[in-house]
Amino acid sequence: MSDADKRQPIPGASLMLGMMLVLAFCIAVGGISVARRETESRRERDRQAQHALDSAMQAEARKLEALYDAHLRNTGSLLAQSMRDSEGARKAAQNVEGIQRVSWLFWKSASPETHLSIGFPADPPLPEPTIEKEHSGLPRLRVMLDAKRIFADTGGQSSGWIDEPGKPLMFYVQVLATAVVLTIDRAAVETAMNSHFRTWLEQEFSPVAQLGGPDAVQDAHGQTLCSVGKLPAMRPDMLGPVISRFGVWQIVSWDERETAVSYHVPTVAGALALALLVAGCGIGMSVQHRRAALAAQQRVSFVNRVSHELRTPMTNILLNLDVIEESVSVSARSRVGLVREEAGRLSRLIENVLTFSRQEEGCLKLNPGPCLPAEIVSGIVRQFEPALLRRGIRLARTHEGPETESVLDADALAQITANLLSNVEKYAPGAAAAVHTRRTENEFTLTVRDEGPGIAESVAGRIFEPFYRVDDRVQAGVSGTGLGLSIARDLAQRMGGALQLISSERGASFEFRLPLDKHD
Amino acid sequence: MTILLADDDPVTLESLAACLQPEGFRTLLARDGEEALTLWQKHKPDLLCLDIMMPGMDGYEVCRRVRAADAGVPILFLSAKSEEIDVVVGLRIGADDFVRKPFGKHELIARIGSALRRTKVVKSTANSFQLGPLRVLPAELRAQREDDSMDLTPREVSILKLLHERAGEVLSRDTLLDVCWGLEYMPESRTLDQHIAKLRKKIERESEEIIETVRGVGYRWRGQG
Repeated sequence: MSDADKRQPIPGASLMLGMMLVLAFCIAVGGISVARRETESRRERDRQAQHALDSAMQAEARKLEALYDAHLRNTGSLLAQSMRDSEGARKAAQNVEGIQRVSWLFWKSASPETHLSIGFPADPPLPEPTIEKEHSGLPRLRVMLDAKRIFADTGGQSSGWIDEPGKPLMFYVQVLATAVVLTIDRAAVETAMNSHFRTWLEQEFSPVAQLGGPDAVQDAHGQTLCSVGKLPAMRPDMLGPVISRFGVWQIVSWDERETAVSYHVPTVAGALALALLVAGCGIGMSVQHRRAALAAQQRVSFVNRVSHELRTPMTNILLNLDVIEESVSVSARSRVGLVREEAGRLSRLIENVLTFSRQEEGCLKLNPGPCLPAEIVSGIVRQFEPALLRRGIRLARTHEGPETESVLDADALAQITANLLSNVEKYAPGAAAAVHTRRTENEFTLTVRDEGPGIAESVAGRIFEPFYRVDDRVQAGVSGTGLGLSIARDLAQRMGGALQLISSERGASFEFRLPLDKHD
Repeated sequence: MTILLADDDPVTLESLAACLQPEGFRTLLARDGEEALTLWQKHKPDLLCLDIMMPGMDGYEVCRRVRAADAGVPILFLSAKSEEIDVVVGLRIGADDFVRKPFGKHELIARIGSALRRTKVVKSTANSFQLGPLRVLPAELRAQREDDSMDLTPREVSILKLLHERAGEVLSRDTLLDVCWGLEYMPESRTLDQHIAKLRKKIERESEEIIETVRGVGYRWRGQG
């Protein structure tokens, strides 16, 4: 019976070990990530070259501004004398970058103020500069200028910027009683300066570029004119501003940074220790579990082997009893009957122990086949008849419905019936009992009822538990393993049916209901 | 009706033979697989009862080899091995039924009868005869009464056959013993009475007398009507 010893895999142990190892891994990973510290160290750089570039660029901006001032002054003087020649004036104005409009204003004169737009009309429209408090003609957007400032020296010549908040940028040139006011497009001048700086930086940035950066020159809008090194997204550590009337540029520079990763040693050690502990526990528990399961399996297979070995002599006893029964005298026949009953009891016991051990091992399987269920029940009843008779139990066997073939496990049904009748034999001496079977189209029902002392309601819930026995009856001399009902119910459920204790006025009543497939 | 019995336990083998012979079965006994195969080839029995665990060739192997040569002969396994896997293997290689140890004589005879019936459905009506309300089907070891069906042993079939053939005649005990038991046994008179009593219990209903006792002489079936 070597195949009865087949080692079953032990899924519980592997699952538990797996879960514990995963938990240990999570603890280790979590601990390490908690212990991780990132410290950033910053090293300040020598920035002489950057400062020098800043000064040079500021000086360059001043130089450009001065150059532009000179251009505007010359153009203004020229325009003050050529007011009548508008084409000439336009040409002169177009020579200088950024002039949007030329306006002629007069000190205490009847001549009207004249305006000449250069290039495309601005949007929104530019206000016209004026010194007239009272305006005649169509209403227009105007910007009031301080006449006293512009015409401070009506006998001579003056010029200067009008750079006030809320007003467009303007440059005026005053010659005697005429003033030319030039409205300047700040952005255009800035763009021109930008392009100048780009060219200029090609040469001038090289001392900074040699240092490797990260450094850059940016305009007011954050556009990079030139750069060296990979520019970090963070705020720069140095800003060198270059400020002019037309815009702001800045030299930006970052320090060298290093990120050092360190671990908090006690945390790491704690987490690893905990992980090791959990893993160790898991392995230990799984080994224990395996050992226990193996021991249980060995025990079960021992029981299995013994039960199997008991069956052969049991068969020989039963067969020979059948043989001698027919040839012994009537007086001896009752003795033979007794031996048969005891042999039957012994084989039921063997069956129950074997079934229970198979349940425990998880290898109990049913073998359904075609059979006559009522006939099987009757066969078991016949086996019990002599024993019941001796204990004064009057058993009535009834059947209702057709006796047609059904597909079910005949051995399981026989075992259920025998276990129920065995209880009747033990617990209801001298009482009446009944075994009733009913076959309908789709159900088979077996009812075993006795009029014995019955089962107290307080224990009714526990009688199907394995090894449970009703206590006071043990003392009353009733023998048994406490497996019968538990096995009967388990078999009933495995067959797809149900075994229940049903309430009755007197005694105990068990009902086994088994649904049958219609095509049976 | 010849049955080949194979079991490595000599007590079981002898006990099986002792159970089946009085019921009218002829038995062939084999102590192991090889012997079983040899006996089967020589005698071609009507049915085989094989133990699974036997020294040398086991029951499965015997079954496989017999099936390879004869698809029809009924094969029963008698075994203490009743795990599901064994049943599946057994049925796959062509066994007709499994009789789980321990079993008694009556269970064994019933299972033999149903195995024979299952394999002989085709020729079941041949040789059948009517005995009062009973339709006796000798090939199936069975009698039919309305919707009821009852198992019979070969011995019982031969008793009923004799009663039917000699309807109305009183059959003496000696005649019955001679014809139905033959010369191979020297059964006691009581054996006959026991058989008749068992047979009556099987076929007769309450207060009915198909087989009539003629006191001091023997038995009789009065015949139809």
